[in-house]
Amino acid sequence: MGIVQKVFYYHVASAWIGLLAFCVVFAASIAYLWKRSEGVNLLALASAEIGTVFISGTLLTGPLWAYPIWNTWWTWDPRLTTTLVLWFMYVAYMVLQSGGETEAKKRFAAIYGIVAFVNVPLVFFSARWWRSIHPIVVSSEGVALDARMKVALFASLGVFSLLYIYLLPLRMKSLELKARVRQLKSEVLP
Amino acid sequence: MFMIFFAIGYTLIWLLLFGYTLAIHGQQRKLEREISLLNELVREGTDRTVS
Repeated sequence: MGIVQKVFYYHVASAWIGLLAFCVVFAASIAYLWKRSEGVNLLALASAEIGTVFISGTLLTGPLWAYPIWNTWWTWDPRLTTTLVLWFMYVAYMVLQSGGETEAKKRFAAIYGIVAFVNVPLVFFSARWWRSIHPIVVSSEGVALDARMKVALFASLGVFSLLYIYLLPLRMKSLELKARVRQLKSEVLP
Repeated sequence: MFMIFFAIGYTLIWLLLFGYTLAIHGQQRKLEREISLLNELVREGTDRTVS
């Protein structure tokens, strides 16, 4: 594959963080319905946004690899299609969350966050369940890679995970500040 | 020709990630400035009401 193979380390790590971030949205949405805490709502929103950025990275790096290997930038393969649907679903989630500050809207967004999660295992298993040309690297038999490629893959997974751990509180903080600004503005400009 | 697309695509993807991180930092700084300004306005409003 030559230099094109290097895309793999960004593509897989980016997809991993995207799916992990959406798992966090799912857990935070359940917690919100249970506790009605503003903190977990912000956690869900921040994680959805970061997940969408990383899934965008996955969707952009995929065609870079696909063109020289499959001879096409895009094909309606189950893995590619479910990932694109996933991306649209979480963009819709963010639109819902930006719709307003009312309790009812937050509750609806939390329910949507739980329902949208259904697509996460679907993305993961799509290449196994349906006829797909997308490579399967992680299977029940382990990671089908050369030892040196495994090291590079795990290093990239580690680094991307650290990046997620860094970005999540950062984004939560800015969402908190945004809410504070809204509150202060309502006091200054009634 | 493909290598040019590849290089541009790869650069854009890294720029997306760095751009996103920098945008969060930039937004945070802007919001902090806005909060201190609004806090000042709230204080001024309270002082005026008291006096």
